[in-house]
Amino acid sequence: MALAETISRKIHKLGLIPKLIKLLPIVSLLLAISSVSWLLILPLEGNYRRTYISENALMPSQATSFFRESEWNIVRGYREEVGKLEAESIEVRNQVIESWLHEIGLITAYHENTLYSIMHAPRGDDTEAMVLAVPWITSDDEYNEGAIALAVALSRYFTRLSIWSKNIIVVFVEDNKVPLRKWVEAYHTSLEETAGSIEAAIVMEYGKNGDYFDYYELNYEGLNGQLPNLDLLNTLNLIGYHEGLHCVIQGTPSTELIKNTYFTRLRTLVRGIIALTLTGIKPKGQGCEAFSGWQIQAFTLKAKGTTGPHDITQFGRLVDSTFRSVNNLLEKFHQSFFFYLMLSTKNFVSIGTYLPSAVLMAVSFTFSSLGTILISGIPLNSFITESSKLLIIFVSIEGICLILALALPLIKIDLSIGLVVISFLPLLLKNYVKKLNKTISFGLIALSLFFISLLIVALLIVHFSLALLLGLFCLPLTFIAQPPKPQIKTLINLLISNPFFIIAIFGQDVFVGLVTSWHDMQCWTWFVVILGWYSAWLGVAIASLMGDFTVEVDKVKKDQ
Amino acid sequence: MLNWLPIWSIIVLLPSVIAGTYYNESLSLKPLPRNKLLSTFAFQIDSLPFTLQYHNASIDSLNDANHHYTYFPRALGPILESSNIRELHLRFTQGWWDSESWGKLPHDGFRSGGTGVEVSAIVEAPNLAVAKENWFKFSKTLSGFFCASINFVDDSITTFPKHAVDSHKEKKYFSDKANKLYYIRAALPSEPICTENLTPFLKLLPTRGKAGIASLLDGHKLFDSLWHGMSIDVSTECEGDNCILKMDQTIDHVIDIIRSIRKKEEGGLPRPTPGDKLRCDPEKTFSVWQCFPLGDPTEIDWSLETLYGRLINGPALMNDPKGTVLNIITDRDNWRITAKQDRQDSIVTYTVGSDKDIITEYINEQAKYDFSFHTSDSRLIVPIETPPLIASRSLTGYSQDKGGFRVSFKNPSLDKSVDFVYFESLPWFSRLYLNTLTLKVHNSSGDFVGKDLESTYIKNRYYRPAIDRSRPSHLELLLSIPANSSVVLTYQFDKSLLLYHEYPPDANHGFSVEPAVITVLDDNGNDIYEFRTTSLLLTLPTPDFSMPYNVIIMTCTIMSLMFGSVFNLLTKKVITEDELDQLTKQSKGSKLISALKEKIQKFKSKAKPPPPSDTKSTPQSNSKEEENSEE
Repeated sequence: MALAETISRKIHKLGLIPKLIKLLPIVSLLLAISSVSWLLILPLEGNYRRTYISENALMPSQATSFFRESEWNIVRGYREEVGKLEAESIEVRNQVIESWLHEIGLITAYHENTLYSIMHAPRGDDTEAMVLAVPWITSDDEYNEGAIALAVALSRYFTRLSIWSKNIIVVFVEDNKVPLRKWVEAYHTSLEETAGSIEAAIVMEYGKNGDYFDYYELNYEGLNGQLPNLDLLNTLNLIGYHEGLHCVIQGTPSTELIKNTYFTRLRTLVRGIIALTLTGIKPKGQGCEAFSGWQIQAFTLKAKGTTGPHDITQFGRLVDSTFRSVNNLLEKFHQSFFFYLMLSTKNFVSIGTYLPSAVLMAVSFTFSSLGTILISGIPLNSFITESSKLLIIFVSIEGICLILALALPLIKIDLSIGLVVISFLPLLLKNYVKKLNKTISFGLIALSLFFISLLIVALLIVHFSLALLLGLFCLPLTFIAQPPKPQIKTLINLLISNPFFIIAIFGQDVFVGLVTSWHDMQCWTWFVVILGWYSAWLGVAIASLMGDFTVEVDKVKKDQ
Repeated sequence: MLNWLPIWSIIVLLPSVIAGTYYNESLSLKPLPRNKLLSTFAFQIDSLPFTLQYHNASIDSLNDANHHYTYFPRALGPILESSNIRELHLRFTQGWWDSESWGKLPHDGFRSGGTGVEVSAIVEAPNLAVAKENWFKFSKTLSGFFCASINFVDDSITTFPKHAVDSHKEKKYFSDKANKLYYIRAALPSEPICTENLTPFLKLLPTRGKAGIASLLDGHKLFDSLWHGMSIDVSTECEGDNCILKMDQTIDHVIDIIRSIRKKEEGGLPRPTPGDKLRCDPEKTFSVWQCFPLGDPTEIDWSLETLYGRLINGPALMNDPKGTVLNIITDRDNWRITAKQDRQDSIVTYTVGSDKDIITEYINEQAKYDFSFHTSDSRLIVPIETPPLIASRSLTGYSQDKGGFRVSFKNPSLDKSVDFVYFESLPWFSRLYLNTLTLKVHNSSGDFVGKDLESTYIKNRYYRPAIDRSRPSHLELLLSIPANSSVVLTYQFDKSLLLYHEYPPDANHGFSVEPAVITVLDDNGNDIYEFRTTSLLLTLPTPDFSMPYNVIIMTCTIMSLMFGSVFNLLTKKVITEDELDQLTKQSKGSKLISALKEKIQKFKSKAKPPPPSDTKSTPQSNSKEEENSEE
């Protein structure tokens, strides 16, 4: 206490506060820079951790998988027949697969064009299930021949074992984005044939790779920042390691497979953040995100390459051994991390370590907002008297955004460029509309910046990636009013922080995906973008284009 | 299609009619589609006649010297009598009954429980409090007896089923006319059934599982079935003052014959089939490395030894030639059944046959019996009976605070409507909202939803809401579903937070909701069929159990901070800033510093004489200017 007293007295004596206020914009920028640098130091040795199995019950690769030898013959047998179905309609394909499943002795049911089979566990209390989902078309638009054949062969193999205590559901779905999501939703609301709560799900993709594949790719990002429990991924990777398989995450090129350097880790980290943000928005789904939000741990497995040295039954053994591990579970997945960033298949950063990055970003916006008010030279009292007017303006901006948020998915405009143009409408109105007074101008910018800061804080635990990227994209907004820049610089800053402009860079289909994501996938990124980011942007844009800053500029100069 | 109901009742009743002894046992084998086999062990034991007495634990100790149990287990009798249990039903079940493929449950479902353990009993008592007291005492004893967690039966899961009570009304076996009978029930859905439950079950038999059909029962084989159920039913039957205790023990299980054959041939490990033994479809591409598999073989050969790894060790009782029976229910024309008697000196083999629908074979020789079965087409079996109703129940929703139940009923009959009682007991921590009950009907003319449908389909309802920690919610609905239609019931509930100590070990597993019991009634309101839905796993908000320690640490930190500042304020003297400056100047440290400063000043002024223009300014002001310029 005494120390704090002494320090505060010293600060007071030396008059540091006014000096610091003048420095606020720089402090804010420094904080933003430190936020990014925090991420950059994460892949350094000592800042990340090695993965480990937290739940003892899992016991990965402790049991020998017998999906080998003559099972390969059966996979080949099925695969040839699956290959013949490529030209057929989904109904015909389903009928054929259903007849095979019946031959194995499984119960089948339909949801729209999705066929699924249930194997009730001979042991256990019939209350829990594991899902193996196979789309007919892979995320790379390939006919998912190998995986469909594997799924049928695995179903047949599973019925031979009497060890299962959790039911096994195999889903044959048209496409791994919307139809799979619809099936998961129906399973929890309206399906007649169900098999208890789903604990884990694997989506399998093995295109026309033939008998051999080089390595497997793992996708695990869920919707709205959700990730599967780290234990499940570790289980799979440990099984893969024991099978001698290489695993790729976040699209690392196969040449960098074995390397584990700072740059490969950084690359995985950054791509992971972007991938998590874009899950549910991208036009092509990975499959695993369809299970998000129902307390189901899921990942997607993809076989890559055709030369080998690994064979298709090894891919099947990955699924078999993972199911056997999950089958061992008594409790739900809860031991390990739900929030993490992967740096490689064996290294990760946990939430406590990466969170400060987003916190720094949020603080940066708060300082920037404070700076706008304090540097303006307007007495604080006038902000308070104008506060109701300020709030009315901001609420009406939110109102406009809300109408846009609800209307755009219905209209389905696929032109984000058009929206960028519309966004700059205030510029045209500039000469016709009465100028905003200086208090409102500064107040509106400050409020918008503070709003972004609050948004980041609200999102940072639930959806770290979105919070961080939002902060980065909005950063140019903090340069606008401190001190006021020439018109052209302001315009550039506004353009590069406009949500629709940035989405346009990502691509037209990302925009369509974003707009329809709530309806199709229950992904709320669209609302964050339009009600959070766009409304704050609009606040700053209106203030900086129609506001009045002239007097304050003089005053600031005089002060200097 | 033949109606097999009377045949089943014959199997159950047959031994007691023929044999005059107090013990009968039978094994019934019924092949099911897809190479499955339903195997039913039934044991019936009667006690000697005795006079029913009401036992009051507070007055006298149990006096059963006049009882002679003979075959009736001496271990169970006194437990029943000391707690005045007049009827006991105990069920141990695991697995999923595939009614689509296997048809009706054995014994019309009256001997099969839901997943886990189910206990119900009729207790004679002067009032409810005494009845409950006896019930809890009894369940605790039973727990140790059967190595099951029946001791966890308490108020919060005990129910008094309404329909069951009504159907037991005519039963009158009081030892004291002032007493009443109470029907009490509890279920433990998450109890795993294993060998430790089988051993005490066999111990109740007079043969102790060493002879007769019980000699087949081996835990490893029995629990490797697709579905299995054990039941114990004790009832009191009186004629005047003379009463006897009747005990029925059954074990039903469904065996995967193909798996049993494979296990016998290849051992326990599910090794891949050797390439030359693969059964491939010759019409599709077929080579050394490719095979489109055929389904299970239909020409099969198996024997009791294949299934159980053991042989029947002679009759149960040597002096009772008709006490041990084997019944085989199958298509006689397509199955060749051979019996093999392995006596000490010779082996006798003969074909078993019968001109009746059921093949009945008495085990009466002191020999090891094996029965082998051969068929060229295992699909040809006695047609399965469609159950009168198909029901399934599932959980809906995903959140941690609320959820819903969805129960769907389907009447498979094309011309008859079906009436049934739906009994459900839900744990108190799922707070049911009956006002959210909605009914969706699907029939040949379309789908219908609406509140007004309720009166058409729900004939009667009984609901007893839950009381936190002391009573489960208890719902009984009398429903009627017309031919060829299905009805879906949905209702919502809230999940409550439990107290820290109320979470069981492995709390993150979730909480089991016991299976709902469905009793199908005939036109006269008699029970004709009974079955259960599966149990459900309810996820409650489960805390991280390290949380309390975080709370303790946080609380301690805040308390120490507060203590520190309060202590600081209490012990410090409050002074103004000027006084502080004065005081600091007088302190030894600051004196030393000022002395040092003076010396430095002197040194500086000596080394560098001040320029003539600055002569007026004091050294003090000079240093100030320096400071400013540095800024």
